[in-house]
Amino acid sequence: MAINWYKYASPASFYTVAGKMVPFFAILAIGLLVAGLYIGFFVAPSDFQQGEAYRIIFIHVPAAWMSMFLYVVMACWAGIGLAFNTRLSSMMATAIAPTGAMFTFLALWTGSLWGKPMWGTWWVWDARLTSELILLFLYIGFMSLQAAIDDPRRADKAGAIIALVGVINIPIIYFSVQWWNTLHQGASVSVTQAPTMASIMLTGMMVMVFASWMYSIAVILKRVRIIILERESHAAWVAELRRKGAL
Amino acid sequence: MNWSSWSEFFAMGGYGIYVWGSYIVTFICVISEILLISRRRRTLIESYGLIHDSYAEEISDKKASLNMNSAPIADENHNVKAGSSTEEIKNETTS
Repeated sequence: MAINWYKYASPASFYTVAGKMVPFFAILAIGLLVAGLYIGFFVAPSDFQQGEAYRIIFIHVPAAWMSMFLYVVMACWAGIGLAFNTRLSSMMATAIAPTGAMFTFLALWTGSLWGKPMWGTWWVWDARLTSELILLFLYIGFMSLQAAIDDPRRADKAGAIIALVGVINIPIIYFSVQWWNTLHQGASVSVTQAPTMASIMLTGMMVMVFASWMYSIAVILKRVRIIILERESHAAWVAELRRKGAL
Repeated sequence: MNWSSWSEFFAMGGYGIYVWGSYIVTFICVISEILLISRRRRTLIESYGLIHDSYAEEISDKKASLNMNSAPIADENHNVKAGSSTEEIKNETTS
């Protein structure tokens, strides 16, 4: 059976589908969050070196991963929108940016609060921290540029350029701990090596990572629906949904 | 179980301010994002309430003038969601 994917590229049909998906992902996010916090605080033991301070990992790592991952997804959608002139792709990119920026801020914030007791400093201008800060500026730049341009389609195109150029920063963040000397530790989890953490800590962290994923999907779908409505306010399908009370 | 008392739980082995500083700010950010999105949507729907109510009235006026007004266009949901704005328009049109 072939699914007609092009159908869902139309904002009108995607609006309804996304609306049905939001509660599903929201419930998953809440469930995983509760499980992750339970494991993080009540099941995982204290770390033999860092004591209880290591428990920041359960938000720091998910936030840092999401900040990078969401940027790549945002740049992909922006690039697709630029290349194929598909409106919905560009709207997705616009919808992702605020959530990505929030996770970037949280990665920096929790990292700072973790750095103080462990390294003795809130902040250091090393490669990992600086490149993550640049990521935050890229998100803010993307959002400000789009907000500064009145015509949404032109804003999409201008934003896409920033998003695509900024992708170069993602491998820099990821490999910064290998390329330069830094206070930041190397990757705790990687594809090629066995994780360097106790398995229950790793489990708790991964549950929190999945919770962040589900949260991001729910919030981004909710936001993209608003953006669709804002841009398509004069379309007949909006009036039709409004009349049915199904908006 | 890691904690023998609540105070021990809040103290986090002396790292309470760092651990809770991280968790509380994360919580505030997440809740604010959800609230901001809900407010953005509500504002939008309210402003649309005006646009589409006037549109609906326009159509029902036309239908009435053509004597084919069988069913009222505004259903229950419609009235509940945009009650105030409908009233405003009605007042404007009658006055």
